Amino acid sequence: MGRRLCVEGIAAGYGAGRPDVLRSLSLIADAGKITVILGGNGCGKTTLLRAIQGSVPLTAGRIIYEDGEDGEEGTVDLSTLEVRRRASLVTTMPQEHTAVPGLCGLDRVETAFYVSRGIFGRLAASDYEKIYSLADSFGITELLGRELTAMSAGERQLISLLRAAVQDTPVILFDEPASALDFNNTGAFFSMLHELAGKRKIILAVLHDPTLALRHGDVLCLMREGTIQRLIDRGTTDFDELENSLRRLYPRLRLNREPLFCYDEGTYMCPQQQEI
Amino acid sequence: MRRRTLFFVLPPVLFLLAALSLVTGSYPLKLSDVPTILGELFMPSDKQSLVTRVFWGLRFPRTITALLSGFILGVSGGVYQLIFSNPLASPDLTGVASGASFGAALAIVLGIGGSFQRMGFAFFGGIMSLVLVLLLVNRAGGERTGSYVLSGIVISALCSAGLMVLKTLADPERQLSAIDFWTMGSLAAVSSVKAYPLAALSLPVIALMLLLRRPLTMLALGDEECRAAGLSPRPWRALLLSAATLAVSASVSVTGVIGFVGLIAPHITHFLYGRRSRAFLPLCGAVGASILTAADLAARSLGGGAELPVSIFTVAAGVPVLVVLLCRRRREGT
Repeated sequence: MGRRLCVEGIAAGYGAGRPDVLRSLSLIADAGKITVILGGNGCGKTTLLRAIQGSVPLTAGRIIYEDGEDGEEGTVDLSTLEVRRRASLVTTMPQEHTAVPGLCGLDRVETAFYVSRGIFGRLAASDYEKIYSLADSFGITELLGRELTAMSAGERQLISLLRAAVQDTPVILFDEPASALDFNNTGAFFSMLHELAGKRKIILAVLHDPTLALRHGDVLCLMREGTIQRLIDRGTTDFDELENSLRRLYPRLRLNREPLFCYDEGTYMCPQQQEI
Repeated sequence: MRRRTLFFVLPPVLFLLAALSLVTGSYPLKLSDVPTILGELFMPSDKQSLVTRVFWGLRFPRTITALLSGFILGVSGGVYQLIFSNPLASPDLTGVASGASFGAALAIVLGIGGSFQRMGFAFFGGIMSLVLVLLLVNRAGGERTGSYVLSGIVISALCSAGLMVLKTLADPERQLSAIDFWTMGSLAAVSSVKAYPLAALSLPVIALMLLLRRPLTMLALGDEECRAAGLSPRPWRALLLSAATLAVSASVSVTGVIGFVGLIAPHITHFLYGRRSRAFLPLCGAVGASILTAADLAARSLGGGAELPVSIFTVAAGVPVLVVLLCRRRREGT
């Protein structure tokens, strides 16, 4: 048995008196694959990620992390773990974050080591090496010394991504990670995502753009009204079935047999004319 | 380079202000009095000369209190900004000042004891406002910093209403002016019985805030990011808020309400020092201590023998500084 995350019939919401946002939701995300969650506004995508991270309490169901890497079957019920232990297995690149003037990119990335170093422990030289080498590979070393409040939304997303990557947890959740990224950075972001998946990470990403989801997702979870309606494995689903499923969520969507826009060997192929 | 200079400039400035504060006042002290003052330190007070008694009984506690209160307000200001992730947050946000004012006014109107009892009431009032804010936030199930701000406004308004009631009940001859003077802040009535309990209570609390730099930074980055990195934001925010409020209450109960230092010190520090790194909070404290000591010097020397409220000077100095900083920041485009 490999490494995977099993969400088993969970329900969750924001407190007593208010209806649950998630209702008997189940999904399985395998390591090494990019699992994409698609759904309309307000269907509970962000809440699902929060429930897995633990900032929204479950009212039913459980979330199991399985790892049989070392020959022995290890299963952990995430909801039994306290916040810090949980963050050693799961981390999120959240949609929103705040900052005050004076806090720099490095200040945010350093928080990735709270899990290992605690409140008082100093960061080792190797910790900083990890930060700088990853920052270098993302091409954002310059951002580490810049104030967060002086960054654009896209630059903040890159810093947030770096924090999640440095934390190096087996499960990484992304909440609309590419919403503010430019063309180059979107490409760089997804190649990074494929790289992480190649390292046996469990990648769960909420995306709003079905074209990005189709281009990069291995498994698509179609979400509606607080539950996963359909799980599409790209490897075993044929074209018509894929189109039909997606059209239930996006009625105006039409799939092209030929890729309009494809990513190949690090370069993007763009069509000259856009069909409407 | 600008960052480094602060480390060299600030300590001499603080030292100079403290020295000036020790010798300035209605009873003049000279440098030649130093041997007498030090020599008679451990004598019983009835055998000490007047110079020694003025120094150790009044001047020294007053200077210590100015430095310490300024330091507390500066550090707490920095802490409030971080835990609420808002550069406009200040110690007034959770109604400490109003709570302490209410407590002090209550002691004045009830005619209870001297200034030491007044200090106790003010401290209790400040802590009560914190407890009420925490209860309200808990009741509202508040995950967000907004609920702290809202609860702070509610409690602050409540205390202000109480203060107004007390003012209408107060004897206009003596009590009303005492209340007004208290709400404008003054270090005139500071003596050793007030200064040393303040130091004993606030030093460990300050140390705690300075040590918890990592959780503070994480709180400033937002609750989602905090949890993703493994820190539970709610208990930590409550703990750090309590620490900051405890220190501010202790300071306010001794000095009365001193406006603006908690807001302006972190802004000046950020302007001069830039990064919010390890040295930031201690520097905030040092800047706050300089402001308050200078303001107290002005309050006792510019009034022509009479003591002026210290808030006049902190606010009068703070407003133009804040305006200049805001304009400059805008020009820098950050």
